[in-house]
Amino acid sequence: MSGRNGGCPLPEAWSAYVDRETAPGESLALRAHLESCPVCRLEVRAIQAGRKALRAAPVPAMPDDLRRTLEGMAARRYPAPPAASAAPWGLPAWVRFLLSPAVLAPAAASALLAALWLGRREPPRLELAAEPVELPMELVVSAHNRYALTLPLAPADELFSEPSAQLAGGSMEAGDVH
Amino acid sequence: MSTKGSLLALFALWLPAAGASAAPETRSEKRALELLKDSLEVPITPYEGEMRVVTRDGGTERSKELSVRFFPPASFRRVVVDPLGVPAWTIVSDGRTQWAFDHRRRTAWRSEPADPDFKLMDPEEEYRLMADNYSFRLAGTREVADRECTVVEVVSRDTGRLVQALAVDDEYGVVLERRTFGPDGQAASEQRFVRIDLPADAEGWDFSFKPPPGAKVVLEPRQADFLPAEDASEEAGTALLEPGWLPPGYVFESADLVPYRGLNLLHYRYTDGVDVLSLFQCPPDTRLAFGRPGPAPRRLTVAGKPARLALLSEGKLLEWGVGGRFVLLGRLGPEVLRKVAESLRE
Repeated sequence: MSGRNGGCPLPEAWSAYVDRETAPGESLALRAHLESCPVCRLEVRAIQAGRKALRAAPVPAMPDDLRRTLEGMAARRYPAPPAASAAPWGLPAWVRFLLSPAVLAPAAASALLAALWLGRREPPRLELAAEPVELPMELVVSAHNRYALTLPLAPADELFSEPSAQLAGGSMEAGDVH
Repeated sequence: MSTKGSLLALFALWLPAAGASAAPETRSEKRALELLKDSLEVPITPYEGEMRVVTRDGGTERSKELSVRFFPPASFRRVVVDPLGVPAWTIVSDGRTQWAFDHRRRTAWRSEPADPDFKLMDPEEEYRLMADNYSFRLAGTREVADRECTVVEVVSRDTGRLVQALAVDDEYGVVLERRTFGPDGQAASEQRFVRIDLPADAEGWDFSFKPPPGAKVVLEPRQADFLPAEDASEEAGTALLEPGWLPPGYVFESADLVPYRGLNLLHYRYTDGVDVLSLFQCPPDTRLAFGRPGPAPRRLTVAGKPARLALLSEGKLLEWGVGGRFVLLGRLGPEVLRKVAESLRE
C-alpha cells in the first residue's frame, strides 16, 4: 500500500475497496486512511461516480456484422441435425420432432406428474393463503434503523433502541443459527 | 461513523457556497453550521462515560443506562445495564464487525454495519439536502456532565418546527446531549452523558468479542446494500412501486432487499437529509406481527382498506394491504403517512 502523496494507497487498492474486494484488515486500514486524506476521498468519490455512471449507462446493442459473424461461426460449429433437413415420411420436420420418443417420453411423464399433483386433496398454495407468514415487526424496524444510522444526524433513538432492532432481519434466518 | 469523518472535507468545501445560496442566511446560522460540522466529525480522542437514554413510544416512556467507550475512528463498546445495574446487552464494534450479546438469552448476533460510503446519494448531495430542508441556530450554552457546551438547534424550514437540539462540547466537539422532538413538538427522545472522561486513557481497551461458551451465535447473512429501485425490484421479482406523492423535502435515496425465511422484502428509503421514511413491499401471503409491548396498534383505513398504525420510538408505523402488503415507517404524522400510502402506483 505505497503510492502517491507519500504513503497514500494506490488507485488499484481504492478500486478494490469500492468493489468490496479487499480483505477485512485491509479495508479497515483503507477506511482509516480515508478519514484523514481528502485526496484519497476525492479519488474514491471519482471511482464511485464512475461505477454509478457505468451502471446507469444503457447496454449497447451488438453490431449487426458482429452478430452475423457469430451466428455463422455457431452454425459451422453446431450444424443442424440431419433429421431436421430430410423429410422421408412426408411430414414437416417439426412435427416429426414432436412425435419422436425423445420428446414424447418426458412429456408423458410430466403429464402423469401433473395429474397426480392436481389430484391432491389440499393444494399447498391454499394452505399458504390460509396461514400467512408472520413477519416480525423488528425485521422492518431493524432495516429502517440500519439505514437511519448512515445519516449525518442520525437520531439517538435508532442508535440506542433495543439492539435486536439494530440487527438485520436476516439474522433471524433459522438457517444461520449456529 | 466513517462517513461522518469522510464527509467533512466536502462539507467544508460546500459551506461557503451554501452561505452564498439560499440556505444559511445569518452569521449565527453559519456559526451553528460550523459547530454542527465539528460535532459530526469523528472524535479524534477516545472517551468513556455513562449515558442515560430516554425514549417515548406514544405515551410510554422508557429509559436505560449505558456505559460507553469509544476509540477513533469507529470502535466502540456499549453496555446497557438494567435497573439493578446488571448488564443486559453488550454491543461491541471494531468498525467493521459488530457484536450484540443478550446476556439474559445468552445469544450473540454478529453483523456488519451498513457502509455509508456506498450510498447512492453523494455526501455533498446529502448535506445540501439537509441544509435545504433544515436551518441551524445557536441556542445558548449549558453544562452537560460538568462540561461547557453550546446548544445547536435544528429547525425544519418547511414547518418551522424544532426537530433536534444538540449540546456540543466546546473543547472537543463531541455531542454530549441530543434531544429529538416529534411532529407534535413534544420531546421524543433524549440521550445525555451523565459522566464523561474526555479524553480518556485508552490503555488496555479491547474491541474484540468472543461469545461465551455455550452461547447461541446468530450470523447476519449479508450487509445492507444501496441499490437503485429498478435493480432491487428486479432482484426481488416484484413490480416497481413509486409513491405519487412524498412529504416536502423527501427524495428517494436507495433500495435494498431484506431477507426473511426464504422471502425478500423490498425496502425503499426516502430521506430529507435528517429523517428517513421507509417503504416496505412485502411478499403476498404475509402479515406483520406487532410484537412490541405498548399500546395496541390503532385501526384505520388506507384507500378504503383496513390498516394498522403503531407508535414506536423510531416513528409511526403504518401497515396496510391493497393488492399486496405494505409498511411505511417514519417520523411523520399519520395523515402524511396515509397520503403517501394512497399515492402508491406501479
